Amino acid sequence: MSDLKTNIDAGQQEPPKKNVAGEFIIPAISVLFTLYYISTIVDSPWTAQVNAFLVGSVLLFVAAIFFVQKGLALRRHNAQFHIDFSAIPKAVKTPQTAFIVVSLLYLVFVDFLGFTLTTIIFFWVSMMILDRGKRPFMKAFIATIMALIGYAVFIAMFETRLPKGIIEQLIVGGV
Amino acid sequence: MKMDVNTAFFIDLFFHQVGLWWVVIPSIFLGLIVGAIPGFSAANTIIVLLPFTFLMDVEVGLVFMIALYCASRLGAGIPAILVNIPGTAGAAATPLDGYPMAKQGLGQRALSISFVSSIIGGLLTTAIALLTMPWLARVGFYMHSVEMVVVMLFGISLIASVAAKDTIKGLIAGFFGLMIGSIGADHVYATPRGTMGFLELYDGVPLIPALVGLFAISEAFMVIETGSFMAKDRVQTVQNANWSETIKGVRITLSRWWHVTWTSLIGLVIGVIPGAGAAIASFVAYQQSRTFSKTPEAYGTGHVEGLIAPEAANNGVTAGTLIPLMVLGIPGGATAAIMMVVMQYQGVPTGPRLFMERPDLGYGVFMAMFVTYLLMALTILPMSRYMSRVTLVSTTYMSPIIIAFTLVGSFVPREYLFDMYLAFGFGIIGYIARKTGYHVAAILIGVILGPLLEQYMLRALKMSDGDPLVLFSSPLGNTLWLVLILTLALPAFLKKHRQKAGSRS
Repeated sequence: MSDLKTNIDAGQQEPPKKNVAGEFIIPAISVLFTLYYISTIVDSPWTAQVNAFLVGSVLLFVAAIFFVQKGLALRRHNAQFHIDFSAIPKAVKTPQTAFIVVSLLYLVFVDFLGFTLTTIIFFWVSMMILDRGKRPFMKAFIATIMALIGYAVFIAMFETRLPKGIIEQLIVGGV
Repeated sequence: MKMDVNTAFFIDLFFHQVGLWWVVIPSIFLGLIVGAIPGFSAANTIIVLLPFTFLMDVEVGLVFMIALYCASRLGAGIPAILVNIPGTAGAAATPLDGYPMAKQGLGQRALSISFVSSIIGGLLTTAIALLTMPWLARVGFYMHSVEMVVVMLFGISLIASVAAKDTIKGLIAGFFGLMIGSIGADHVYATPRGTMGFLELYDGVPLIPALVGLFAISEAFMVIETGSFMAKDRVQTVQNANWSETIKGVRITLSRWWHVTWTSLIGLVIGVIPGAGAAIASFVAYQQSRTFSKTPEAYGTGHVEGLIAPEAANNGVTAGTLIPLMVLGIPGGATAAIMMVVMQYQGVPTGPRLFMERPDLGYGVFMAMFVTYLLMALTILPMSRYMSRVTLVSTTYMSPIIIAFTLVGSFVPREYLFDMYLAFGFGIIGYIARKTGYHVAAILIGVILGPLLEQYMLRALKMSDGDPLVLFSSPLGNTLWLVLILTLALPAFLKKHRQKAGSRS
């Protein structure tokens, strides 16, 4: 009987409210950027202002509707605004976050180490992260081959002036 | 050289161009590669290879450039369909329905549909261009700033379609894109606006980093979560796919021949307008296709017509872009401008003199285009079966490759490291947008069309000393306004009509 009561209670439970916290990021960025943009054109001639005021005012208007809409949903308890700070340490440790950080480091190091070496390292580290360290030698081989294909296409074939490092110097010296 | 331009002349010209297959086929493959890599385009590849074209006979050089140009248009759709990375801005509307098809395990069919609609669109518009060049060239004369503002609004109205599921979020994304597109020095007094102090942004936001970031980089981050480009239960479908999928794609496209025809004609007409280009053509074609569709709600979920429209249109642009160059001596786009340089270097005139002195070259350019599309049908279509297998590659390998090579692609056009950072920044914005239910395509439409809209609007306003009524001052412009309003109102009307018909039956 008590089991049956529990099941009925569970069946009557409200579905979890949608957390809308994330949905505020893009409108917030948009509004901040629009306000900054407008601040840069306040003293400009009308030709520089007309587009920003047209587009910017519509954007601010639509964003205002969004904030009111979500505010009402929160007030009526149809949605929830919740930032789970306790989940941050867990999220930081995911392969996805590590991959995003490694991608950013790729940009930083490509200028110092040159395209080919940085790309080999980036490929290998990323693949190891995403595959949780399985088959490191195989991945090193794939990383090297792919980076050399990149060298052949971008630098040798299309003469793109990518940052040069030790490998590019060795290849040019060897040739 | 005096020649009679008659049927025999065209037949001779056709077989003569077929005889140049040894130039066309390698150029097709090169074009496919450069089209598929974001950042590379037919224009910058031709620039790199310009010294070789100077060494070639002028006719061979032109055929090489034409084949490369057409193939790069088609090639840009391949990564757009398979991994959601448009190779060029002209293919930005392709993944809207192409990628959902690939995700459903229908990548091979989607490629086949894309190839056939591109080829038919290209063939049809080239044939029309050959026959109607003198008249089509006049379109450019009638399209002034006012008319162009309305044409741009046709493209921008696609934001409303993309936003159909959540209007407010779609509009925020679209107008955010338009604001980003407004970054840079203004068109009249070069006042810097919203540049955050970066000199690299004075020319505006470069298109390739925005394209690469919003589509490719954000997608690379997203697919890590799923581990595959498609649903796990669809993997078997792709592994077992055989030629029948390609043939099915051909059949589906041929059965929608009328759709291919009219969307490619949109591309042809927009291509004729100098400065308009493939991006606006594909957005307008997609928007119009959705408007007149019986199932507009299916767009964005892997709808065949949503894939046909942008592909047919952006290949229709290729013939259109060359018309002003050949007939009037005014290049309609970057590739056409480079062709003009080659022709001038070789002492070949452009404009009306070309057709009087060298009709074999004037018409030959379009015939070369026709032959290129024919040869593409034979060379590229069979490859769709093997290309579609890219979607089977694990994201462990694909994500790093996408990140590194697309970041390099964003570096290529201007060779600024800043552009790589910019692409990464757009990638993060795109990732947040996807995770929180905002459409990245809406942001991109704004980034691409925003600066063009501003440019034409300012020109119109400047001519009228700031009087906004100038936008309603031309008969053609007013007609276009009317068509735009009808186009925007039509979906609601058709929906109501169908609901009424449905309730009656």
